[in-house]
Amino acid sequence: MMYRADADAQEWIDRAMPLGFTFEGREYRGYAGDTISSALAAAGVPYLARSFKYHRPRSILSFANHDSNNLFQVDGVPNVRGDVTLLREGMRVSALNTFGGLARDKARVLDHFARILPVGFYYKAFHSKRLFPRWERMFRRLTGLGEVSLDAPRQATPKRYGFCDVLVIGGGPSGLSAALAAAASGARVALVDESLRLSGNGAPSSLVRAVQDSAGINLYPATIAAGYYADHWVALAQQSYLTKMRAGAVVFATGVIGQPAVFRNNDLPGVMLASGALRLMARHSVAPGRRVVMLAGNLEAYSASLELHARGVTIAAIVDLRAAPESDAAVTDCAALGIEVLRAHAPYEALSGPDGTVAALTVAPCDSGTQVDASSPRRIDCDAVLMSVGWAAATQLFLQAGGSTRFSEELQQFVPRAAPSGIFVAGRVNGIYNLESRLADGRRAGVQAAAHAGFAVAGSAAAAQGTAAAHGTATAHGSRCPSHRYPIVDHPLAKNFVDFDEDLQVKDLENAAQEGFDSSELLKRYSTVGMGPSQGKHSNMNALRVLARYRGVAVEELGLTTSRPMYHPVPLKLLAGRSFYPERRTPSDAQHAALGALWMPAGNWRRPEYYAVPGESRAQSIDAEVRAVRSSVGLIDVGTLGKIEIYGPQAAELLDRAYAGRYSDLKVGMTRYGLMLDESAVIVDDGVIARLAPELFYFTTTTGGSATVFRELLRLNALWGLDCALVNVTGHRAAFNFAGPLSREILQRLTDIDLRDDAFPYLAVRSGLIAGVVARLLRVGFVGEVGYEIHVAAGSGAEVWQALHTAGASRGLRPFGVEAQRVLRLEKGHFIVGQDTDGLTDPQEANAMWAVAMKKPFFVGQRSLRILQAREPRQKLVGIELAAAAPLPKECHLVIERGVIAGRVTSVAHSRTLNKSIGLAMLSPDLAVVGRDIQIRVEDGSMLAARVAAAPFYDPKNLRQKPRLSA
Amino acid sequence: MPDPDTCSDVDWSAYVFNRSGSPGIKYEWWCHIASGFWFVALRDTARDEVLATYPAEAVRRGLPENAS
Repeated sequence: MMYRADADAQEWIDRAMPLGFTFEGREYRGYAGDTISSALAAAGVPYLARSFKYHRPRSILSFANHDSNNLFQVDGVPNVRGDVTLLREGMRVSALNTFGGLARDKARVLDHFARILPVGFYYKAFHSKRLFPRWERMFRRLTGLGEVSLDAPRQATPKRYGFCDVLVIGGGPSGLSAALAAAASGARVALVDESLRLSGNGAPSSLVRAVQDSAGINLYPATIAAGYYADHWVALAQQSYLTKMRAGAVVFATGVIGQPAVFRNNDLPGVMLASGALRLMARHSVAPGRRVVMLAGNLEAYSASLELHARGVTIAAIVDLRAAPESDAAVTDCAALGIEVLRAHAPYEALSGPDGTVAALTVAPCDSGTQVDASSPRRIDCDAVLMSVGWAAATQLFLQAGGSTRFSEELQQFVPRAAPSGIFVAGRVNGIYNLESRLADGRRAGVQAAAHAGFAVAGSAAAAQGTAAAHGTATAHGSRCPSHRYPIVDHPLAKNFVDFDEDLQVKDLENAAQEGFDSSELLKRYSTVGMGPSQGKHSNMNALRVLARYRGVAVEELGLTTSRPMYHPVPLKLLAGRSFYPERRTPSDAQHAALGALWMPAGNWRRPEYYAVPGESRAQSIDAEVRAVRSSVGLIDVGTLGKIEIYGPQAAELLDRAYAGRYSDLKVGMTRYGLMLDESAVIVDDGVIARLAPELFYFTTTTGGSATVFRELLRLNALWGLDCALVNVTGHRAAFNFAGPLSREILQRLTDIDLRDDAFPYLAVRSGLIAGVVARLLRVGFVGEVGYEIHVAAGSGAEVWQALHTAGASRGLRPFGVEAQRVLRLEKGHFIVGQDTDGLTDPQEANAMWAVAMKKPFFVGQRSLRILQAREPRQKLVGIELAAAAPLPKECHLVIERGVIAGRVTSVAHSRTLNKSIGLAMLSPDLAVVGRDIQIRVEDGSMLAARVAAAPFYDPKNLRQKPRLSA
Repeated sequence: MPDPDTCSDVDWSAYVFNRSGSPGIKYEWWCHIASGFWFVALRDTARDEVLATYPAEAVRRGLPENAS
């Protein structure tokens, strides 16, 4: 059992400041400077978590903020990382993933069902359609970590931006010396380290101090370099924000990650990495146990034993997997202390005591491939088992950066093979273990990185070129191998875990390989190895070894799985940051609000959906708005439309080529509908194009399409090299549609423009003053009444809206919103691009060939349209009618003919004007015949009868725009 | 772009629809949004390396055939 050791000068805790907290409802005490994990360990809490699948008790494995054993729910916040979260007074901590608490977890029974939870269980279970719902319910209940509180306060987490010449990732000996060397070259250096304090991880304290004192080095402690992106852009995740760091060059001194040995019950609380035990002891003076067994696969096992022995921990035995340890002072010192060393022995099984933690380890002789002779295992009583059998290089970020690695058989780890420009690797991740060599390698990388960032120091050129190839060479690391070749022990009863996050045993991986998932990528996906919160930091290397042995190939032949961001779990709030989604408002936005507008998003604008009037329902308000347009006058803000000006001798030529219609013959003072196609003849946008002068056009685009249409026109203009220029005036101009039988009469009183039909006919454009403001008027018919689109400078928008509204107030004017406009245009049978058309609709299908001038020499989409014209259309957009009393289908409900999908409803509304329900539908051509009965399947599966009808439904001959009908 | 008046339907369809998306050296249209300036970049999409840039006029004259 773990306990708090005697005080040490270097410890991070303040024993004068005790802190009280609760875990699973019980009260405990720790010290200021403790983390949640260290305080619980020091308090002797036997285990801290239940495993993901089998709900086995678990405790600290790495104390490196890597493993999933030490995630907690803290004061309502899930997945708090106990290894690095500092203890606070009054913290309420509980375990994740339990049913009825940590000790009495009802799901612990799953541990006995391991045999019926085989590898690939999900895939096998979900295979049956019949059983799917049952499994889904069960899995949803059983899986997942932590509980999200849905009423948690929303916290703004703005991102920060950082810039440096050289970014050094890792605060160990090589990282520190790289940072110092780069700073000495004159580079601005950022040094990132994941520890709460920069302790140097074995570096000389003078080096740590030099880095801390260096003016050229910015320190980022408690920071995780979570992802590498193009051009040395590194995401730095800190406690409460994310820094986007742009560097001139990057040094990866990311080090190595301690790896577990794999043997039966290697997950018992009390079995942990020796590197983790050393961290706990050095920082928080927490001892792993009173009597520990050290598993050795490398020299570090011996130096760790010495360190712990010095702090009062009894080393029961060192169990060395190898026949002979290195000749090193640490080995002879251990012998001198009388510590028993069992050579060529492997752990066979860990045994638990009454509290569920490790009480003994059985060991047995083994060969160099860790095949054990289990005929007479020896039992060693202990209260902790420490593992120092090997390391995995932390190459994840380096691989993300586009580096490549190879597996060094000699070192038994992956080492860099090639690095992209501006990327440098130093230290143990580079395969260099000797302290002096690590310091030298760091200096080399720092100088090179600074030189790459433009800070070359005279005389350092040799250093910058000479030693880049140091990694992986025998001279750099001495004659020792830091990682054991196969620290994995078979056991007939299994429970020898390779992946602690996902509860995967050796046999699970072998079974996956046997079922054919025998490449590293397939093995990962099928077995989920490496897919838990630690992302394979403790499992990928051993899983590769198991797979390599199973297939009889070298690890190098298998290779690592692809490394992707994030390297380490990052809270979503750091990524989400602030919402920068802009919302555009038109110049008369305040007036809409005052009139009771209910808003809806349109592109990135907010637009009135309708204007709520007290005492009216939504439907009544929309009906009243429609009625006002049909019987008197209505006013709608259409300033969200894209608005573009184009001028120059070849302006008409550009429009002729970019739009399907013809504009070169458009008379000055007239407008024409514009339909834009893409090169495959699909309708992408529409609008109204007005010719203001021979070389000046003004035209509108859809609300959502303005930016893309303008950009594409710029591209086409650049490509074709025409003599004309475009200006996007969308935000510069306000626009309103003033429409209805009374619109002309009312508007005439506000303007000097002659509105009489002969002077200002349908589809004409005029300029003049409206309420004293310079305006362009376009006579349009979108809503089917006499109407004027009034375009003015944005600054005058509010004033002109007010003048129009006031002028019509006594004559029954209602402002109308998007909903009423949809009904009005539907009565006229006008389609809306993107609603009634989709990403495959061509002008034939939308009955829009009238807007296409096929005889032009060229326009975008023309060639494809010719091909389509020679074929039968696949579908047709037609009008449909439903009885007034029938329920309304919804847009996108399907039309079914003889049990087969034959189309869909694209628009539908109840028309009070016509006293029936009307809509548009995209139908297969055989159904698209006026008078044809069709069946629409609605939400509950029932069928609704409708009939194909002629559109426009309202004023089909467009008489309302003709002069003789208007007074 | 093939000549729309003389090319076959098959050639035209290939121009409109068939592009190789596999990583390699590609011509790409780029737009500097702030100025609205369009240009063409020759980029190795596997290595994210821009090898050359051309103004739009160069497309009219015909770009060198070094993209895959």
